[in-house]
Amino acid sequence: MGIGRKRFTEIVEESYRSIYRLAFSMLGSEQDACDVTQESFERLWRYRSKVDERAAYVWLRRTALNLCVDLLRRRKTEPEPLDPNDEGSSLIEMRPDPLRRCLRKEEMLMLRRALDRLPEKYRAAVILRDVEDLSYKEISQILGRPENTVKSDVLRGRRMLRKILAPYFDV
Amino acid sequence: MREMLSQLRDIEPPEGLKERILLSTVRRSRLYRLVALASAAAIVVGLALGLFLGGLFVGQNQAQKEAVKLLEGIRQTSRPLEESSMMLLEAIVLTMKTTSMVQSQDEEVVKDEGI
Repeated sequence: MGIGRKRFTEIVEESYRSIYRLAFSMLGSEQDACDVTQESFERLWRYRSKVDERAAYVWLRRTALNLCVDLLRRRKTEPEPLDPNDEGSSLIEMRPDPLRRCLRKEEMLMLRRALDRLPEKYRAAVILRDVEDLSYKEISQILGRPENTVKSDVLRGRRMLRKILAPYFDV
Repeated sequence: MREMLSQLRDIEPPEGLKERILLSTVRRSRLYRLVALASAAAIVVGLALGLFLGGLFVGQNQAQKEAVKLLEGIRQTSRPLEESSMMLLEAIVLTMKTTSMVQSQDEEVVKDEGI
């Protein structure tokens, strides 16, 4: 029980990318994703004596997801238009986006915005399964829901995403 | 759909995020520990210095009190000394007077008897 200083540094090294990715996929904002990632690790550091080392990754992801959900509820804004060309200024140009380097920008942006349109529980399930590539068992631990419910949430989420993206992509 | 979503795996955090996390957790804690240690050391040194200077002050006061006591003691003891000195002086003067009177009487006796 408990996480030492050295082990904590190793956990940061191993998982800060994945936590950031999870937060970014949930929130779609680099700044918010950074804040959520940092806050998640700060909480782990604060409660390091109470968290089991083996459960640290699950604990971190659950904390990050809860923070994302809190943030999304505080925002309460309408989702942005799916097609980046629909709006006057493109977010791609405004944001110093690391995706730019390796991905097709418009496709990524539309995908992200499509994720924004999913209800939170489907979004989290789909991201953990298809982006983070976690098993249903792990996802069920993180979300605190039964495996069968998680499977059903992932399927429903994918179906909704397909429906949203159908007019733009061959999905 | 899975394949498309898997593209999101390529998302990379901005540079410096790891440093930021470590700075706000492990390193901050180390910094706090250093500051706490430095504060504790400063308090100990301050206390020691305070005690030392306070001790000096108290010692000085004590020395002053002792000096005053000593002076008073000297004053008290000097009175009997003065009196005794006066008595001694009076005694000496009296002796000298007596001696001179005896000497003059002796001279008169010698004159009278024609010695």
